[in-house]
Amino acid sequence: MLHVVKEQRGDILLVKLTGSIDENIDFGTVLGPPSSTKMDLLLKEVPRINSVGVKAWIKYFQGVVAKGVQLRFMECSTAIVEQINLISNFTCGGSVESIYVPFCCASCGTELLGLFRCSDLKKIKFQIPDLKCAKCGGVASFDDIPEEYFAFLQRE
Amino acid sequence: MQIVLLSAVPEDKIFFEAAAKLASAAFVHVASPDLAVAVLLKDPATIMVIDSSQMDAFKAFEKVMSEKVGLFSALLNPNNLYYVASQSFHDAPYLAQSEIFGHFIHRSYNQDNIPVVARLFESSGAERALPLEKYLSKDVKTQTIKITKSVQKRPIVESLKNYVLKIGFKSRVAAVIATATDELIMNAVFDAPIDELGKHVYAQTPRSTALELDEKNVVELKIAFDMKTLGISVTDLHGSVDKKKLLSQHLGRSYENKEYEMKTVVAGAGLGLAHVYRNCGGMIISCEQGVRTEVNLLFKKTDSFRDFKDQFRFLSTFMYFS
Repeated sequence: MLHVVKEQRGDILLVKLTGSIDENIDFGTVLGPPSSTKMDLLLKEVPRINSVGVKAWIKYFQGVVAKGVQLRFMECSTAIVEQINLISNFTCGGSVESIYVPFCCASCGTELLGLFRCSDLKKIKFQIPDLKCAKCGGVASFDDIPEEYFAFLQRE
Repeated sequence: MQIVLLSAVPEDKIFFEAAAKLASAAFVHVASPDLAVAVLLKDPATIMVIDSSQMDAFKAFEKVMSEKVGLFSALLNPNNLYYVASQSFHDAPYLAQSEIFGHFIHRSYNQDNIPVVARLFESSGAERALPLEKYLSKDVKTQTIKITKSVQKRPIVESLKNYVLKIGFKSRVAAVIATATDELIMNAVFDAPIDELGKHVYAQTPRSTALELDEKNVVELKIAFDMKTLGISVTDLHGSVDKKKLLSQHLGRSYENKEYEMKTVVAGAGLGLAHVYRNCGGMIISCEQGVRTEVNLLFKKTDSFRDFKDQFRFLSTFMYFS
């Protein structure tokens, strides 16, 4: 089940989504009509989204944007980043502010995530520095294919 | 059984000759479409492997096949045709448009992939494609689940994800496998059922609808693991795959550089299978028209997500008409 927390911060509606997005989602019910002209979505805790969830997502957010709402996607999980890369209009014209970048420790295999601002990723030209593994102290390297994981930033 | 290879790529000869040997098949290497066709005309059961990286050369091959054999000739069985290319399937759209498409093999193979290609050849040579466990090693352990209610999908997919994590797959890979299984079950429950006229019964039914899956609508999920590769199989009893539509509207389509346009007249998204194929190592679709469709997926267990993405990929379709 998708859990939604909404918070009004000035003129921005902050929406935190937690859980998988699938055929059971009805964004119109859980989010309702936009109450602000700006909406920030926190997507750290979205581990999966299936194709019907994608369709529901695009349908709802296209409608929101058509009403003049500015969308910003923040702390995007790897699952959300994959969808942004696979479907050119997944963001419905909104901007992607920050994403989680996956790492894997070469020594112990532990998976880690690092939060990066998209503007910083562009500045460093997607040359992701290694991290120190929190579990064993080994070297954790970026665990994906740069041309694929950062494809959406390169097509902007 | 006989394999004929039409390719000037040296690695292809080494790889497919080894796969042919493992499948106990004779191997013939030819240099032109005319020679390949000559072999086929002598033995219509011949399995053909064609280098299809270049569109012009591929079109030339199709032209020869069309002129000398006939694209819809009984002599030409797409189940026996393998297209090999260096680019991804969705980057070679002319393959999805091929009337005689049978299989796509990405040239990302290595020695470890010889057995699975040998099994594909054996499937081509057999009366029916081999079941999931035959693509894995002899140590495979399998589990079968009958799905009799559509609402069982979610807990089954979550349990599968937990199992996949338990057997050592990376968490992102587990999420990919869970989503792929989710899509296949959804297709089997909502897209496979057709009426007597071939119309999709649930085309406009919201995918959140709770359906009782009676005898003909029961969906079978099989999970197989041999310590190196996880296999997932989803079977329905309708056998309603339209291969041309499958290739052109689903598997061969990419939305990376063009907008996804929603079809509001159908409840499905039309995105699922493309994502499934792009995220698995091997996809084998076997459809006995009007009887059953079995979709098998293979996922290699890797030390990292990057390695998972780099794994050998293929797409196989076996169509049977009684």
